Amino acid sequence: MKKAHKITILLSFLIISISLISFFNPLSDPPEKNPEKLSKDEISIFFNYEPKTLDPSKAADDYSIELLKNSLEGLTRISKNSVGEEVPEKAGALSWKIEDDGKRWIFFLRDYQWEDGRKVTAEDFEYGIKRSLDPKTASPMAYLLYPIKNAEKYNSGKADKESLGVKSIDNKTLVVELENPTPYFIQLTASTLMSPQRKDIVEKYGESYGSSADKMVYNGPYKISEWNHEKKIVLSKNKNYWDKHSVKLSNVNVHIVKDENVRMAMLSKGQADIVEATKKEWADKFIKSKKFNEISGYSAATNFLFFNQKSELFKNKKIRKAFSMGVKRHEMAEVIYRGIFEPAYGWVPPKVSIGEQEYRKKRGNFIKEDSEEARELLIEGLKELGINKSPEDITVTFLNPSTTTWARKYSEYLAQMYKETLGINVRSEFVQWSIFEGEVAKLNYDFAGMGWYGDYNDPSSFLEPFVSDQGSIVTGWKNINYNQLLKKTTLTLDEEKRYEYFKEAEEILIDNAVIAPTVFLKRRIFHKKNLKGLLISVFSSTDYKNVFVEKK
Amino acid sequence: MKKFILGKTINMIINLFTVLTLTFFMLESLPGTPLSHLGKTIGTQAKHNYLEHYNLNEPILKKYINFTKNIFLYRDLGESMIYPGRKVVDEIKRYGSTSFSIGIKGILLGLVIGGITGICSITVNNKFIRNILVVVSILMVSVPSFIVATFLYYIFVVKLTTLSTLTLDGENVILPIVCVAISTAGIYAKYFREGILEELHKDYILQARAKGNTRWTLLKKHVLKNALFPMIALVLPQIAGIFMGFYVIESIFSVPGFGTVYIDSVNNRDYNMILGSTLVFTISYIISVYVAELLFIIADPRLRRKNG
Repeated sequence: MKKAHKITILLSFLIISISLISFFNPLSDPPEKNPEKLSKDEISIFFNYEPKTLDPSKAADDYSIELLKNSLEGLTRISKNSVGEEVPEKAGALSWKIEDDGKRWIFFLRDYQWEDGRKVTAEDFEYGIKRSLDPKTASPMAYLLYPIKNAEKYNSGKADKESLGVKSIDNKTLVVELENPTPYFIQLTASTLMSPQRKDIVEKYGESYGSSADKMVYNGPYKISEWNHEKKIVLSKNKNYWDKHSVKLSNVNVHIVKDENVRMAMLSKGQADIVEATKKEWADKFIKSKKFNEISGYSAATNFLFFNQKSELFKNKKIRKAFSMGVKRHEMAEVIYRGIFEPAYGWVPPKVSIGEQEYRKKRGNFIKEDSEEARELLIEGLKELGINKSPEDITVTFLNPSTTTWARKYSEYLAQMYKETLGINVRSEFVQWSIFEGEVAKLNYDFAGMGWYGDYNDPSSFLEPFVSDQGSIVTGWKNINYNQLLKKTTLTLDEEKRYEYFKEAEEILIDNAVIAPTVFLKRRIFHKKNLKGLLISVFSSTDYKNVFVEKK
Repeated sequence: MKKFILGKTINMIINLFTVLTLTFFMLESLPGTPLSHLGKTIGTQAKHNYLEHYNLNEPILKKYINFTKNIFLYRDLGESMIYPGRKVVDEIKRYGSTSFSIGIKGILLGLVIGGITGICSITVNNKFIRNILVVVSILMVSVPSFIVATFLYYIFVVKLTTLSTLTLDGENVILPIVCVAISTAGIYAKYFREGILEELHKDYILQARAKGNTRWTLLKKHVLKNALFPMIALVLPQIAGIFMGFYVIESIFSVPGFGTVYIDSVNNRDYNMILGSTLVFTISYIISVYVAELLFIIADPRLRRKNG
């Protein structure tokens, strides 16, 4: 009798909830979401979170930048050449010439317009760049433009606006002077920080400039016609774009969906065209369905462990080296990253190039991995420090910048790995990023892990952060030789010489075991088979300019 | 009555002020800056400029004075530090209305379900069904909302992938509403049932019964009015709690509501958003409790006399 009761209770509970849901269901299917009704020149994509701003000087998150790259036309656009290398292509600039051993760049602008019909002028560029560097704008990304003459001084409030090396000579000519002949400068011309900006619009909206779709003005392939915060963004074709004949889509609908399960379900039901699969199960499912094409590639990012050189143990080079040698990178990539990422036996990730040459390919892998030797090194290091304990009696703390279940898994794996290779005990502390950042800056940790994403396509984007007092990755490490090498790479345009400097710098970094790179990041993107012309960029954003939907 | 209102108002202001001050200083003691939302380390100069821009480099006491001044003198909650150029007030309006619409629909639905279950568990003649209804309402009280939410999420999102029930573009909010309804219905049912039972045992009911009233007329005419009265005290604060109370449900279904945004702002150290949201939440909570008390006093003559 009692059992029967329980079952009826459960059943009634279920029936109530299901009937309620089915009761509400018909109300909840607005017709425009029906995929069949989307016209063929529209696509639907996802953002995983709300973009922060459309202000090109302040945009720092991936999605804000993606929106801006598709709606603004700066001097150049990143595109792929015949061999698949990413190169800046002439866009707002018709041509340019380089003078003064690479320290003076003169850009000649194309005759093109903003969406409201006003011409894009060199003054717009000058204004935009100066605004990005203005300390009052407080752009978090301003440091990227420091190669420009006096930019760093101006951004730190030590020089005035006029001394900045950016000048418009006439309506169509922009001159940029550099501090040093920075070979990667052309990469920066495609960044949103160097986009043209309209003084009248910025002044009209003041602080709220770029906070919604209408408080901004566009001149790129698309304009942002709707931004329903946290819900939906619509990019629609810009009728006044100079190259509008190449733009085939009328709309790109962006759905902001935080929930991964929902994103994946929507793609498999045909309600979206492109999605990034972060889990192997999803990727396998998409491959199996044969409805999608996969684009997989590197993200120009490396995950790494780094050591506090002011801490009791890690001030010893041998111990640090032991911790680098004791990482099982292959196993890690397979077990923890489920085969999506690649083991990293170098610091600068693949796809980063000097000129036309890919750095990693040329340099090859060189980080050593050997658990026997690692353990010996650890014991030697302990002796040097005068610690008479065996590794089994020592516990070090790993600072993990995340509190998710995955982070816990990662830490467990790490502890187990070091127990096997070094015999040492690793205890983990899980903190939020904001706390992590503070603890690292105060050198209040033993060792920690994070990922580094390159901002532009040059090895210096990965090696610059370790220059003393740069303040990005605080390890307490100082090496004058290293600083000088990095300085030298900005003084010459000779690619061979630069390669040698970078190579030496990377070796110093690894030899001192300042960091222990673990994996190179990769991403897997799936899109519908009839969608063509998609450009997934490693350094820039996904470009929808040339996307079209093939008619069956 | 006047004395009561005056006393309560002063009380409210003191409460509000205390909550804000505590929140402010607790926030200040947290490590990290709003720049943390970038999730990457940036150079020292950029950091300095950013903090300078939002006046975060100033000493803590000056920040506190600025903050209270802005709120009480200029009635300005400032701008979000994560989403440049967005006014905190506008953000709260948007997130608040999302939460409110889900919460109020859920609570109403919950009231209907709870009411029906509660009343039926007394009036239905069949003892078996009455027992089932009692157990169902106990289940609804005791199963935490996140279990219900995860359960529904698993069935409808992961297994069935019925997208029409999902929060696509934030417009479709069926599952969260059902969750709110289920999580509140149990308590309502319990209150309904207990309130009615308590009334039924009172002397005047006996007299009314002696006059020959049927069970149903009794309920309708005498009992319900008196029994439902305690519901005010229950429902009103819950309506204020809409903003925060259903955070778990909101986050499971990724609804961009007040609760989710509040937690995000705390994680991102968006000071203006946190303080602004706290202010709005505290005010709405205090006021609804206050209104509930007032309603009690108006309705119950005994309380009125006591409070002068």
